[in-house]
Amino acid sequence: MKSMVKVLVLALLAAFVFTSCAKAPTQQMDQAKAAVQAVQAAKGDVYAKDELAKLKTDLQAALDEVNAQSKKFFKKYGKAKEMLAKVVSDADAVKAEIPARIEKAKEEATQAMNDAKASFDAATALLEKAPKGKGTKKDIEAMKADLAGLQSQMTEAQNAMTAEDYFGAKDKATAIKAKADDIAKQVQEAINKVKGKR
Amino acid sequence: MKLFQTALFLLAVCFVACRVPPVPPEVQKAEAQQKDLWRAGAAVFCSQEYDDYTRALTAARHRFEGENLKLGVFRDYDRVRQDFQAVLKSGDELLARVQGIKAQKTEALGEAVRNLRAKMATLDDITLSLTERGNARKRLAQADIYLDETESLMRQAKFEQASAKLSSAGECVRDAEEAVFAFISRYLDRRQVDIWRRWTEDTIAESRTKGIVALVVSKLERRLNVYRNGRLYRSYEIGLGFNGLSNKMHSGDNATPEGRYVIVKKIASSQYYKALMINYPNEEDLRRFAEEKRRGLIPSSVGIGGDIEIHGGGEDTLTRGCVSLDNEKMDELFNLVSVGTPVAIVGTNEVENYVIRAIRKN
Repeated sequence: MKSMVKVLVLALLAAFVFTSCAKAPTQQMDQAKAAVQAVQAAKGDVYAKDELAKLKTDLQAALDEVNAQSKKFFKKYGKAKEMLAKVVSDADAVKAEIPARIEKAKEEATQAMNDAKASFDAATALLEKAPKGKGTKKDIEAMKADLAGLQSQMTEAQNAMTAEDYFGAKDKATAIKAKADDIAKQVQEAINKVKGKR
Repeated sequence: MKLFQTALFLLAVCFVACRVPPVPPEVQKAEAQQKDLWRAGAAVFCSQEYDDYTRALTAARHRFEGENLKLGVFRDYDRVRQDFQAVLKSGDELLARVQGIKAQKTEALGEAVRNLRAKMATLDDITLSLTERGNARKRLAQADIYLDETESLMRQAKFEQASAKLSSAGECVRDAEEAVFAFISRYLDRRQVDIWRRWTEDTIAESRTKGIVALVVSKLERRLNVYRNGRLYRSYEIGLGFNGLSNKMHSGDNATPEGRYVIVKKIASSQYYKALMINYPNEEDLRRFAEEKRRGLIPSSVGIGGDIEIHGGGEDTLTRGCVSLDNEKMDELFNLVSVGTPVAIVGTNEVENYVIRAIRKN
């Protein structure tokens, strides 16, 4: 009987020692932080903004859990470890998706640039065909200067593509196309006025 | 029997101990609310309040997890419900605040965009009427693109980037305005305007004293005024040269000359409908041309030019220095004038001309 009590006390003492001295999962914490940082470095702030925000929130929640446990007498890091492991796997999944998203953004920007260039070239060609010399409508002359302004914006859009700012390049290219189409329409109207007068 | 009663008793204890109260629905709502908040950009627009919200939510979750560790019969979710209700309340307030901030930023930026577009519309009209084909038009086209980008970024709630684009657009518009002022710098010179006014007054006086028709062309306003016996009789819109606002110096400069002239020939059928030739170059033109040549400002091979007419073909066309009118107006004018009719061509008679007034209005 006495030996049974001794064993029981020893077992309780062992359980006490192990649970109160459980160590914080520092390695898993570092891995989780590195995983989230890797998403940021892979341009997650541009191409996976919402997911990155959630990862940061989840990481913080896991770190808070570790912190809360570390203040307790009987420390249990099981849940914190699960949370940290989830952050790592979620971060890896998000990071894996980013290259495809970049490629898609690049394709859309390239298409927008091509459309803008086509509209710009069409407006330029129309202006080349427009009547020159005495009798020219003054609107046509003004539009040549307008196209010169668009040319510099095309250069800016190309610079954005080179800097891999695909969303910025797409926005600018879309605006250029709209303006070039408008100029072409106005040139055609001015040409029709001259033809009408003749 | 005793065994059966003990088993029954143990079963009853198990049943009571394992009964779990329902999880408060507020727990699920808070999960959804947190997602709504970071989607709305709470971490960007109200970072401190969002941090406080997140901390309160974490604390509420801890209490919830703490209760979940207890046997079902000992769980009490009342305090958990209260915690999550407080979090939901603060979350709703935070969401309203974020949406309010976004609406404010959108309105402020929107108004700035509207004001800039109004200014651009004025400059667009002015540059077209002045036939400014250089830097002003170019900068206006660039500003237009920057404003389109601004509006696109505003729709994506990227307010900082939108603000930067708006700033670039504003810079372009300022440059366009400066280019317009530079283009008409002569027209802002009080002494020059006084000279033009004197020519106009002298021409009108000649019409009055001699009882004849006289013409005054005002280049900036694009008007040709007909005076009969010193009184304004008709006023027509006109077109000018490619470089019409400049004073003609030599052949090929596409400028419309300034000075006092007379009609020397009436041409009933010309390349540009009817035409009235004037005596450019007059003595003052010849004197100035010789002076500019002497100073080396005009190449030796370049002549002074000539064949300056008032003709038909349309007031919206560009000439090589002549003054053009719509054909029907040219018909009227042709019948009003004769060889010898005085013609004054001036820049403007107004110091506070329409360009200045329009720009100042915006």
